Amino acid sequence: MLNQFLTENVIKVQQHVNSWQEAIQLGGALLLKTEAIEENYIQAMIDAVHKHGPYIAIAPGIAIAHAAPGKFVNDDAISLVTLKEAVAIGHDTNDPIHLFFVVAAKSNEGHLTFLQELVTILSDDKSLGILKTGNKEAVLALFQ
Amino acid sequence: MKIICVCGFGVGSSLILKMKVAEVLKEEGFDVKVEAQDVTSASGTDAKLIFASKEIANQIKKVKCPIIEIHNFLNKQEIREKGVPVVRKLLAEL
Repeated sequence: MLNQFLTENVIKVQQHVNSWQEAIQLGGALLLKTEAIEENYIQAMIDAVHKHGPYIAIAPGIAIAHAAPGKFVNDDAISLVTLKEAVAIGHDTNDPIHLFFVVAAKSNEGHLTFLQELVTILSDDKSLGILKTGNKEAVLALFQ
Repeated sequence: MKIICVCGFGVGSSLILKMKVAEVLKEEGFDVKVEAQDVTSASGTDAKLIFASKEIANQIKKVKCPIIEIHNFLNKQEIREKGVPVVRKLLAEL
């Protein structure tokens, strides 16, 4: 199921960014292009970190950026940006961040079941290593 | 017994935390319901226990139930060490 969401056009690997904001913008731009989100969703994700803190850094090196469901969201979607050099988001234990996932949900029913598959991949050290350093082909293969 | 995992909007990181918490509690043999919720509705929750990041925990300090802070949402050992004793105690009090 995850492979229907994390497709080639919503993954960018080994990118260079100067800040976590830039990483979120990059991941957001991918979903803007597929029309899954409206442009305002990108700023809403950044505002959410300013408001609620860097809690989107869910584990060492991994951030799951998202904003409120429904508003500015046309379709359930996820994108991935991996960074060549990790950036800090201000989290005590999970900085620096290598992987930025951008998640958009149409409703708040906790229905994003593809996250379960993602969690399984992220919980595996070998897969995590490939995500952090792999090229696009290797990263895509993880989601198949 | 109702347990909730909380993030800013209840759809992303809290859903991931919910999956891991449910996994751990199931492994430990507990029959409990785990839900994901957003920080605003969590403030008035009737849940018996909350799992959240430190940042979110700070925003819902006024809730009546205990809050367990999790640093690494993917680390089952952290969830197990911090969560299981509390769940066991709460279930004993029911």
